[in-house]
Amino acid sequence: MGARGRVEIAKYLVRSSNSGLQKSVSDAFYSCLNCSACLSVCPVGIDAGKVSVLARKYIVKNGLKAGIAEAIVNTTIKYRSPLAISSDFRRIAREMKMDEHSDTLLYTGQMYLLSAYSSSFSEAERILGPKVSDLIGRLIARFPVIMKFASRIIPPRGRNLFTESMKSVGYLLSQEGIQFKLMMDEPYPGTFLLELGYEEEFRKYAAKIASLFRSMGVKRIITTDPHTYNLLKYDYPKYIADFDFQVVFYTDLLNVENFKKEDEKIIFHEPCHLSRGNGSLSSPLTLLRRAYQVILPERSGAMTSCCGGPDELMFPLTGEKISDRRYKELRSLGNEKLVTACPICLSNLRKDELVTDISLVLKESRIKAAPGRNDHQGESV
Amino acid sequence: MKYLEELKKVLGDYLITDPVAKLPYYRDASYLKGNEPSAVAIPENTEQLQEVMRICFENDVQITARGGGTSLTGSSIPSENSIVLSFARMNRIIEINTVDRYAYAEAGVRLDDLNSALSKLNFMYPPDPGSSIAATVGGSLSTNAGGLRAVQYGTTKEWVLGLELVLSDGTLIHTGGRVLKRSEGYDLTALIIGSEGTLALITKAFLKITPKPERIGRIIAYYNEVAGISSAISVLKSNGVTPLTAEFMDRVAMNSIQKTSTFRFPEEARYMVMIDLSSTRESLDRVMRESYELLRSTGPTSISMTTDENEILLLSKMRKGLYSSELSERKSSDEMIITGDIAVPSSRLPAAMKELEKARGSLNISFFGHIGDGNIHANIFFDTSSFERAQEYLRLMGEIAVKYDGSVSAEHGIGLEKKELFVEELRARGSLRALDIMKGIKKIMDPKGILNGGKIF
Repeated sequence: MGARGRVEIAKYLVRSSNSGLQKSVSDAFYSCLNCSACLSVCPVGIDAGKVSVLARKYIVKNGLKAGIAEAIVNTTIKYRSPLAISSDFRRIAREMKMDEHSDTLLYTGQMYLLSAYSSSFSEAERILGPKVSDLIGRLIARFPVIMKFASRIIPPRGRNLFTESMKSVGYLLSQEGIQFKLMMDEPYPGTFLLELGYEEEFRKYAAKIASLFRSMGVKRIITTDPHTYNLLKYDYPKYIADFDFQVVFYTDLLNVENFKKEDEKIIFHEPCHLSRGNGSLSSPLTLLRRAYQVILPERSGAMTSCCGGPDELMFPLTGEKISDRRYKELRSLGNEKLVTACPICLSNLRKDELVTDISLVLKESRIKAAPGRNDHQGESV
Repeated sequence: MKYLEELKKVLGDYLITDPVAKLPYYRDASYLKGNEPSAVAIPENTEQLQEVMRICFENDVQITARGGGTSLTGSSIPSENSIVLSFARMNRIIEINTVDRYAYAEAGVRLDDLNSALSKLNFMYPPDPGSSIAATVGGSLSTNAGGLRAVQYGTTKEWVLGLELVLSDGTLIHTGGRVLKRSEGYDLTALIIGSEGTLALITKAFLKITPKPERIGRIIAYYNEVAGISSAISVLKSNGVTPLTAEFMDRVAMNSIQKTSTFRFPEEARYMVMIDLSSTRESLDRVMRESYELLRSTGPTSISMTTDENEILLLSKMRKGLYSSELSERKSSDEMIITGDIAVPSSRLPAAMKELEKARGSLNISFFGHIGDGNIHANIFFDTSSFERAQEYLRLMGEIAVKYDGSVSAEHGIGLEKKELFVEELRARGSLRALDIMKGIKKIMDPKGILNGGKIF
């Protein structure tokens, strides 16, 4: 349908009072990847993605809600996690040797953990089909405990990879001498609530999360994924009056001089939310270029292509088509390690064993740069 | 509608019947709005498309072909209960042959994607309409698209070697082919170019390609009078300089670019001429210097030149997006734009522009275009209160084009918008018989009249 198509449907949405066309209208906007690709190519800077954002808010206010969206929102509010997953970081915290007194919080927003589960959930949806999935979504919306049960029986995929990625972030930061603490039972920041158009629910939820940060004496929040980074840095301050925490992306804290240059080539998929819009950050690519020979696909930087992740839960077939296409595009460049800097991208592009997270490859390079050093938090060389 | 069930068997989920999902297909890039189609069909390949056409032919169903939906004359808007046939999935570049100098591509390939692939081999397909980011091979062939490089390379019809076509009854034929030279009976390839999907559906095309210019430079000259812009192109052409592109813009256009970019134009300038020159690495500097002096002799208020690739690319992108960026110049959100598109011989351009400027009255109009080939565009801003005046101005543009022995449609085609103007041009030239011949050809190629009915005539 494209950007222009969504604008046409938005006009219809606003002008029409026909509520009999609910699902196809909400589908038109919920299926938008929010990747800002349309903004990048438009010669006059029209942001059709904003239309989808506004339309979702309109949809929620006017009761045209999607079952799965309601399920995600209600589960998040009840369990502080969209898939009712408990992020028990006690073991990781021990391995990372965190500093309980630090005013810096390393906050993953559950994103690495969620990404381990999301592909299993979307697989289940693909099997059930859209109609049954929507029905189950509506049931979960009324009884979120069903999601808790589901997350216990639906196995995560590649949980180890995601856990190791989180630990690698901790390692990299500790090598820079950065002290931080973790939340033992980390809540989700609420990204979905805002993205799905549940503005008031997001406001209340975000206030609770902000309050939690304050109660921990946090002054600086180090984020590990682009979505959480963008949310805390740019959206939270709009909704929470005194949200004055310093929000940084972890790669911005790493000194490029501390990485060893290797001859090894890697292919890098740049995540949308780090390459476009508010969240444009150059540090991931800068660090990788320092450490490796980086191969970039034609669609990179501001023109990078989405991994399909945003459609993974609500439109799993569409999400899969997009991720297949992007994976093929990246793999056509060679058989090297395929690196990404977002757990959602990692989950969606992980179609072979050589797809990995930036934290792991940076850790490898960091270790090689300083062989014999073992004064890091809990890691052996 | 039983035929919809048959189409569903062929296309599955790629037959769209949901009322909301059909909405994006009501419109193209013109201000016109079509009617609700009965469905949107998105075939994957020629065989599926043939099957779709057989079903529609048997059931007398109207077909509206749709490429990128970038028509500015309503060529791709659907009639009621028609089937919109989208080429979105037929987007493969099948072969690029730099020795034989052709690219073989499906109709749904976007022009910029084609040129992106060719660029890696240092080649290009020259026709580049302003909408090339979205316009497709099929759509651009259907309207004989021109574009910025037409002054040096000509229009689309000069760059098509052959076509794969599906006729209204689903029959597949091939016209032309891979070779440059072919002298065999009537040139059906040429007949289809510009026929706006009314004679047959283009599924694939053999397109001529050419090496990219080694180097490109740009000279920009500003003027206060419209005579200046035509003297600019006259002095170049009469001294043997054929620009790669030769564009002009008026103050409204410049203002809209300034609003959406960091470009700044001299405040006092009313017109801007942008000349791109291409040459070999060794000779570009000389060509630029000589052309710069020639343009300087026409008395611009200021003049500059650059060979910076990024700067050249960015302003070209802004120029291509002018139709959209000028929406920022609307006085209210109710205003829309009609884009006039005429061509006159370059030598008659000063006189034509003078008349157009004089006739604008209270209408808000922005002039820009491809001055190198005498192609004038006019973005005419209108709302419900000024619609009649805007239509009247469009007619006047056509009359001026005819008066100066030009064309009422340089490169946008006829579609719905210019049907009357087209007839007027033929009448003025004493060639209404040509219309009868065209209708006769239509009858032979589309006996049931199901292909894009109501367009052109």
